[in-house]
Formats: sequence, structure tokens, C-alpha cells
Amino acid sequence: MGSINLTNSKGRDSVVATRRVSTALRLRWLDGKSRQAAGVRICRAPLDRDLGALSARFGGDAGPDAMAKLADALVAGDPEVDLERTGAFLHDTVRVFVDPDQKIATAVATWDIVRQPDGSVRERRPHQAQEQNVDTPTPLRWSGKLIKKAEIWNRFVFAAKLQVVHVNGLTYDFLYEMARELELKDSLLRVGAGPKGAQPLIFQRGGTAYHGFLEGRTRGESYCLILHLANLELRAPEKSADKAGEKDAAARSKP
Amino acid sequence: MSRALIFHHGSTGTATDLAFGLEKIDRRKLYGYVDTEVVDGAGRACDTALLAGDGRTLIGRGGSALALLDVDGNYLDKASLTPIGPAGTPLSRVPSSFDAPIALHERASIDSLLNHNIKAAYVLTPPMSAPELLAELRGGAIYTFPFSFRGGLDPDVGFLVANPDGVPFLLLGKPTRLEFVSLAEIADPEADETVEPDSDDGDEVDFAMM
Repeated sequence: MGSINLTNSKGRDSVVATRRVSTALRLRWLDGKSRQAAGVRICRAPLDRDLGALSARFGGDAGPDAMAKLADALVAGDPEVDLERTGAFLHDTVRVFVDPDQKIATAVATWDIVRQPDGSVRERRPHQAQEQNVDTPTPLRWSGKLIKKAEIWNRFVFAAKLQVVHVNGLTYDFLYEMARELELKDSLLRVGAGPKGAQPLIFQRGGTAYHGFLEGRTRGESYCLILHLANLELRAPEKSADKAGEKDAAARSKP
Repeated sequence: MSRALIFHHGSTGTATDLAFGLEKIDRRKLYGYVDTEVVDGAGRACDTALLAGDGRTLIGRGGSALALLDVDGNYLDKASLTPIGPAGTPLSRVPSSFDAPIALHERASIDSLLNHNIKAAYVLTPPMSAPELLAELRGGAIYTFPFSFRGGLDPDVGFLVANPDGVPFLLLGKPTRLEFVSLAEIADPEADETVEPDSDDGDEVDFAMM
């Protein structure tokens, strides 16, 4: 259960809860005796026995013959297998950085390389994880930017959504009224963070940034307030748009 | 070149198979992307690895795997196992949606589409013979069907739509469990759940800023 600080159309704000609504198929696998199988993570090859390490060890400076030499070594002596570690169960693992010498790097610097869609570098900057901005002293503003459902459904890719729910009787009234208001207008409300309500929503430190759109539905005394999240417009990349347009134009001109 | 996706469209007698080309769209293609580079003190690029529980074994990319074991700890070949769903019933594998034409006979409402989390979007290149279907989509029709890219146990819900520019798209989603809540159903804000769903003053939403 998460929380979010939300403002209504009257400028009143309150911290309310958010609930995940995604579904995932929970599979179980049964063996021939109808007993449940258990999944484990195993070590296939430690870093000092993988292709890079073995190539350096057996291929050395052999150039084009390096792989042939390595193949001979694999056939002759199974150097890729470490009887102590290959196939061992992995648990309590930690993610680390390793330098080109395959040693753990302890003092590292992280950079963000911003690239254009064609892959060219636009900017290189020190990495800075953005903090969450949905449950802060600055509530998410009621932007008043309402977009009719019939106009928005095919403009964005709504990749995720959260259900906003009350945490007490007062917030039930607060959210019910909000849902009813949006339902009557048959619209989604654009929701943003920051003092002007223009920043994308970030739900946890370093998490994905989304644009939020609030939808309300009611049924009797019950309500369903949905925060739709999108980080992609439903539009074709330039090249595809041209291609689709050309074919379509050809089809239209055909008698 | 990806395989064409064939839709079977039209009423009985006049129905035709329409082969669409498809290309996945994502943020990288529309807005660019951010690569993260980690360097050590000497400025050399570093890579990620796993440090095993013994505190000394390092495992690089592709160096680990998932395996299935029986209750006695013996390795099990996945092909010999039976998949079971949440209700305890065996699940059957669905074929790839590329294996046969997809029948377009069921339409979805806007609310139904909005009830799904869309996990992938593909721009479709229509064939010459699709003006009738395109006209329907541009008029706001939404076709829905089960979809599986490679075949599998858990098909997605496919939606065939057109964007405001009239370009056809295939959206793949998963249903969500939205519920109407009443006064009595008060949420517990202390319940342990990390929620990760995964500056501009204008009305337009600037997606590139993210």
C-alpha cells in the first residue's frame, strides 16, 4: 500500500492510499507425482571461468586462432568447470561493480549519457536519482486540465495504473466526491507533481517517471478512483509514420 | 524483417485476411534514451556482477540460471512438468498469434481498454486492401482478441486501435483488478506494499522531458 498527497477541485488536500491493481499469473509446476517443483538459481560459470576469462587464458595473443586454441583446451581439460562452484545454489547474492580486471570496484562514479533516438550523444552528466514526489508536503495539484475520455484513450500508452483509496471516513467523502466529479464530466484529469503540477510523477527514489491521469467511476455509494500512468505517446516514430502514410495513400488512390 | 500479423476481418462471405507489418514502439525510438555508465577511480568502465553468498565468487552476465528441483532436491526437466494455474487446474499452451489469422469479431469499449495495463505497443503497416478496416478504426472502433507473440501459457489481451492521426496500432495489455470501494473498506496505509507502477505550463504533455 502506497500513499499519495492529493488535492481536490476545492483546493483541499489529503494524504490517501494507493493500491496496486496489476495482475500476474502465478504459475506452479508439478512433477509426475503431482508434487510442486521449486525454483532455484544456480551458478553456471563464475566470472573467472566464463568465455572472456578463458579466452584470455588460453587464446592469449593467438589472434584469429584464439578460439581454436580455446576449443582445444575445453576438449582437453574442461577448464570451464569448477567442481566447487559450477552448479552451486546461489542465495544471499549482492550486486557489485567489477572493473576490466574483474576485480570488485569500490569507488565508482555513475554518469548518465543522454542519447537522441538515433543513438547520438546529446549530453553527459553525473547520475542523480530523482526522489519520489507523490507523497511530499507539496500535494499533487488539481490541475483543472480535463481531457474527455473519448479524446484521450488513443493518445497515450497507459502502461500502469494505481487505485486511489481512502484511509478513513473523511477521506472516503473526499475521494468519492472527486470520483463523482470526474465521472460526471466524463473526463480524465491530468495530474502532475511540483509547485505548478507540471512535473511527472515518481513513486520511489530513482523510479520510472510517469504522467498521471485521474479517472473516477461511482456505483451507488462505492467509487473507483484510478490513476492512469503513461510515459509514452501513441504515435509512430518518424520513419514508420512515413511508411504507413505512403502505403495508405497508395491504397486510397487505388480505384 | 518481422513476420506479418494477419487479421481476418469482415462479415461472412466478404471476409478477407489482411497482413499487417508491425514495429514495436518504445521511449528509445520516440524520445531517445539515457545510458548509465559506471567508471572506477581510473576512469575505466565497470560492469555489473553478482557476488555469491560465499563472499568471493563473482558471477557475470549469463553466469547464472534458474533450475527446477523436486522435493528431494533432484533436477527436473521443465518439459516433463505440468503447469498449474491459481485455481489448481492445468494450463494449456496457446499457439503463437502469428500461426493463424486473428479473427476480428469482438469490439471493446474505451473503459475496457482503460482497465488494462498496456505493456507493449506496435505500429502497424497496413496492406493496400485494408481501407474498410482502417476506416472503422479511425472511427473509434477498438477490436480485442487474445494475443501471444511466441505462444505460451499466459496470453495477453490484444487491442487493435488507431491513434488520432489515423495510424493503426496493436496494443498488448493485461487486465487489472480494479474494484469499487465503499466506506467500510478502509485501506490500511501501514500494509507492506511498495508501489512502483512500474517544467511545463502548457496544456501539452511533454513526454521527452522524462
